[in-house]
Amino acid sequence: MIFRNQDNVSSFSSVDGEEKLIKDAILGEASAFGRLYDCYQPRIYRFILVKVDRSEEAEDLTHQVFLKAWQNIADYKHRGFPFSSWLYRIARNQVIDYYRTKKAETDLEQVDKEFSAGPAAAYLKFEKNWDLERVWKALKQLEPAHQEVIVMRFIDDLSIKETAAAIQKSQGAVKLLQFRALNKLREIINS
Amino acid sequence: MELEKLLKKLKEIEPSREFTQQSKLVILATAQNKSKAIFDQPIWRWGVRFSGSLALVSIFIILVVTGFSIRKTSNYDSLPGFDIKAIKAEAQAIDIQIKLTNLDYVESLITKNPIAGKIKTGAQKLGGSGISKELDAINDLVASSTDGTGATTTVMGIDETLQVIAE
Repeated sequence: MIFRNQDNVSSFSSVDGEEKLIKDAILGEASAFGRLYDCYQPRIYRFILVKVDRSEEAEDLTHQVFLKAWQNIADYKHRGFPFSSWLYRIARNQVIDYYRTKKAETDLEQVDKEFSAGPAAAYLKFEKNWDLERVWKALKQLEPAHQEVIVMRFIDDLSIKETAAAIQKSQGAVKLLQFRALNKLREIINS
Repeated sequence: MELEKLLKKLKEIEPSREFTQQSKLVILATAQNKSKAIFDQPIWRWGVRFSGSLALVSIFIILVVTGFSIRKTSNYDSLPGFDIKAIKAEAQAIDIQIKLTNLDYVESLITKNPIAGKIKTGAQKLGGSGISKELDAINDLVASSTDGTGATTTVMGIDETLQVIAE
């Protein structure tokens, strides 16, 4: 996991000619999907990283998300929402599956010490930006629905409509979740 | 620093480059699931529609042909409690009763209005050349039983009328 300077960060808007790229990807053109991957992979990675403890897990899950997206892109139907909404939905399901499997397989004696230390153990190298580190740790303590809304709305700059499509809730519900999530986040940071 | 601004800074988090490159290569080298995509092709949709229409038309034709053949080959005699002769006799009896009712009706008309033309028109409305002939006979009878002023003097009963017709 890398914490890049703002100057090096790739564009966060949707990729140009997205519809054409999706059509080409459906027809099996790898380069078209490659461009979609470049655009959306960092977002999906962050979305997953907030929910899991280690960056390696986030990388594995991100890989699985894009693998599923590539294999099943023929099922994608454009319904006025961006491609990212579809990817977020896959990512959500992937994280749910991950925790379900983990819960079933985890043997208490084999639990990694790093895991037992809780979310705080999974830290990022924030280059001595303590404020940012505090926010990140607070974000990881939020409940999943609040995490999703904060990541999509404030980190990845998705609109209310796009966020609603991704988490399959109404726009009103997203606004309410956003309000509560921000309050909760402030509360955790200030405590 | 404002919370929203700090959150925006979190978008600088990215996975490592080695992972990104390796993952991308592996994903793009994997084969796509084409099964559903193939069935989404327009030619498949057209094929499904065409075969659906064909199936419906075939079912309709089969139903029509089967219906006709069943009607043609059906043997009512084999049905239990079904006596075709009794039904025919019953139907004929009904027919006679209808004729008698018509005759009774005509008789009442004659009683009320002796004008033969009107009776004939009424009889024609009732239909049947047989009834018309019977009416002609009735008219003759009525004429024979009418005096010079045109007023009806006698009215024959239904049994007498039937006897005359039979003759």
